[in-house]
Amino acid sequence: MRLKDDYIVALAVAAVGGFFFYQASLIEFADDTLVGPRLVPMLTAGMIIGLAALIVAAGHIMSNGRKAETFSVIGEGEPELAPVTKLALRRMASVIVGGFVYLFLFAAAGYLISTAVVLAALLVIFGNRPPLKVALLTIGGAAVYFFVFIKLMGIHSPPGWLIDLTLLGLG
Amino acid sequence: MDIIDGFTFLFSNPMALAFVAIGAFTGVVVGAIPGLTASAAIAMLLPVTFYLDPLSALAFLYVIGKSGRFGGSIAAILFNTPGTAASAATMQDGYPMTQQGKAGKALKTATVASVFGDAVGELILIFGAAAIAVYTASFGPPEYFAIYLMAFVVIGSVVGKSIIKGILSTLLGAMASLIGLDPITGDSRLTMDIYDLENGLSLVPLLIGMFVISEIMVQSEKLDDGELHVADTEGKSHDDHSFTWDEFKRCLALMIRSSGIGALIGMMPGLGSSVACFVAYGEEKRRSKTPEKWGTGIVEGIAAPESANNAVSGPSMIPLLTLGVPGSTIAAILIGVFLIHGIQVGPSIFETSRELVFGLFASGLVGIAMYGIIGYWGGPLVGKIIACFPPRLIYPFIFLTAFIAAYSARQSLFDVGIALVFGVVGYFFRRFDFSAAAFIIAFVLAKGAEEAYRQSLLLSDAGNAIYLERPVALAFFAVGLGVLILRTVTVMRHKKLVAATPEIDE
Repeated sequence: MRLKDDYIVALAVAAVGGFFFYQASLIEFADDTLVGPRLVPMLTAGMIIGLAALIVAAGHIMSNGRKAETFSVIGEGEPELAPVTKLALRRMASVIVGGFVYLFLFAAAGYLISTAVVLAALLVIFGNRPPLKVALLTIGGAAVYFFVFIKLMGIHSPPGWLIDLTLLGLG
Repeated sequence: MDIIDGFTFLFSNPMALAFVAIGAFTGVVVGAIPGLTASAAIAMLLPVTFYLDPLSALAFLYVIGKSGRFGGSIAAILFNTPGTAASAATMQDGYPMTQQGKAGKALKTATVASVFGDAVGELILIFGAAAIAVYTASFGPPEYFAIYLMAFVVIGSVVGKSIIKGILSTLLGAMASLIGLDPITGDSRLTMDIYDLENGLSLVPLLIGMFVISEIMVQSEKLDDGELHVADTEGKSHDDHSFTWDEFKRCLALMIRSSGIGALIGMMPGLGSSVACFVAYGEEKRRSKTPEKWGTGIVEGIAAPESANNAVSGPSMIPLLTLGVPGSTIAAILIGVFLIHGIQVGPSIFETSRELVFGLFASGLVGIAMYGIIGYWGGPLVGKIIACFPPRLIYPFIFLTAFIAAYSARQSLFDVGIALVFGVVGYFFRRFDFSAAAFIIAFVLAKGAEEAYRQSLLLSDAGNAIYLERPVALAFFAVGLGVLILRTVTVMRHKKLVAATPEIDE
């Protein structure tokens, strides 16, 4: 972590704090309350913004005569994760996109189909290769998850608005 | 004695006993999977407990937390990869022993040390918690606010590498908890006119996002084509796969000291097993007559960290039960379970639910025995089974489990979306060295802190000056400030030392 990273962190944190400060200012409440619902959110958001400003101020003060890439105001030691590669970034983005696809498919086609599709995709994203192995794991895995969570535990799987398998007893 | 009543309560509930056994096994297996923590397992299994009675629910998750801390040592010893952060110190002597063909000895040492430390911690909890609760029962809203504020400052200051990031993590967690309806007036806050946010963010999807989905993202980032290779645990001689009585006697004093270190660290909010294991390892190495042997594969190098990291478990429940302040992430999750079953944590729990509390303590002791048996005779087998399932096969299924767990809490796809969003947040926390544990603990505590603060002001005609009239509250404020100052001084000294070192070399 170096000073540039500190400023990125400060900017992101200030943005979050500013957003919540604004949202807190919109809270409506009766004027006769002693300490209303607005106080603590505004205080908390204000502290977040204040700490972000402190990071920037400390970085400015400490950077006199020092190269920005040689020190950090808020970093200590080596970071936990190594720098990310493009391949890793694509893989991570695929996982999150896969999650949102899962959400969409769950509503559209129900639990069984969405689980099978996303499981197959994740197995491929994580580097499992022979198509037959992926297919067998997908079918077996989706079936087991459907049976355990939907049938045994009774978790509600609503009928999909696009494909409705409840008519076949698979919901 | 109350603990005997606790055992009676436990043994009269076969389902609770069954879940203690399932929890012991689950924790060992989950802890042994590199990258997956007991907290992640508890987050995913939390919705299952909604359908259970309070004792079964609490015992299940509590024992997973205990056995998960031990399970991490299996991966550390066999795969040279810590299964959990708490077993990182165990790796230093555990894997060299495996390389010498003594994996069996290493695993048995880890099991005995874990059981020893956990039992010591549990006894401290059993006899300490009730005694402390008698004193804290007299606390009112001003004292509770002071305790919460102290917890925020202490957790933010000591957890992780950076004080500012720790405090920011705490503030961000508090901010997240304020979304929803105001607890006193019922006014809608920070909901951005999204109906699903009226009831606030649910703990389960937040946990799953911050601990499970973020971990899946990290694992997908680190992914290579490597498999997990488990070393041969058979050994050349009987001595290579057994922990002898002489070795036990040699390690006994060390395990007692390390258990004490772990118990003390466990009582302080925010520190946890990962700190305890390294403190104990470092301290015992310093005391040793042969420090040069540490790190080459000796039983002492396993016994010290394993006793310490497991001794954290019981005492970390003391601030939870006596003050309502969780001492660890797992304790923070257990608050959620208590509340779901309508049980208010804090000193009054010893009045209102005494049988349940001591039943939980009894579950802890039984769980320790169970994971000890599983680990002592089944540790190598668990390792071999896990090695058959490489991470690239395991993590897709963990993602599916996380998805359904996030959904099942409130049967809500919105919660799944929240889990995904906080998965990304949790990943960026890891990338920029913020603390997910501080975030979650603050999320759990913030509502209580706000209520206590506002109730204090309602009680007083003097406004914020009420805290000047309460010496106990002032004492807690002072503790929080003291820890912050001490930590700041330590960090500044360390920075000066690091900056000065190249000049010394020149």
